[in-house]
Amino acid sequence: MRVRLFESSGLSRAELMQYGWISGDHNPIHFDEKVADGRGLPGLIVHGMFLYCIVYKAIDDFLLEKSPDFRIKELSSKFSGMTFVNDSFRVEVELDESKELSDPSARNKVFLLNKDGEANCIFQAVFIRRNP
Amino acid sequence: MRQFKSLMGYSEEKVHDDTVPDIFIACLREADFKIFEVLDIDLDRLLHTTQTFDFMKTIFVGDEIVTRPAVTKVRTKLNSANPFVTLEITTEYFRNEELIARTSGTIFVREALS
Repeated sequence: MRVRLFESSGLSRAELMQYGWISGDHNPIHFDEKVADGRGLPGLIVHGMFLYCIVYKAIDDFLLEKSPDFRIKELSSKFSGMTFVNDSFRVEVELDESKELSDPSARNKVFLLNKDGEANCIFQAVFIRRNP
Repeated sequence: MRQFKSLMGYSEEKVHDDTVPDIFIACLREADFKIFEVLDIDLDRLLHTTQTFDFMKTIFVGDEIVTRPAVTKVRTKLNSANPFVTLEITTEYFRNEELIARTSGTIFVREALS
């Protein structure tokens, strides 16, 4: 069963600038419309790692609510679509219900979905107990 | 750290405590960008395609973290209409020589011959 974790009406240019400043990622496709246009992009592209951080927090909040004994051990992803400035998106999780939450072989999936419900990124997540 | 936690939407209490979300290491990419500079790759030709994080230890505000990135795999396709290179960069994070996290990502470099 899929559970919706987070919904955004879109990240602003100011937020992209702020993430760029914090992370030191000064790739101009994230803040310079002319460069993005020159690269054939329809707008400023959101940093993949910014989205990663948002997805991580959404899962972490979900785990804390479900059981504070667990934390994220591994998170892996393959980006298949791009998220642009002001694009709405949402994050959903699908737990592997055939396994214990902290089973490292559990195939828990997290979806970063665009406004049309298409996956821009699918994550695999492994959880462990905080203090085993 | 406060700015990061605030941007991510953490509560005021969390913003001001001394915890560090594990994913903050995603922001410690200065050495990655140094690799692109050394390889003379324009940043605007890069696209992130895959990324894996393995979080081993919790970190705290004040910890001194050392990052050690390495290019672990290179694939090229240059004899095509759209030549490209992919780089796999693996970075290990240490606190007092203790391995605390590892991340590996694939970077797609467009227009590799331009």
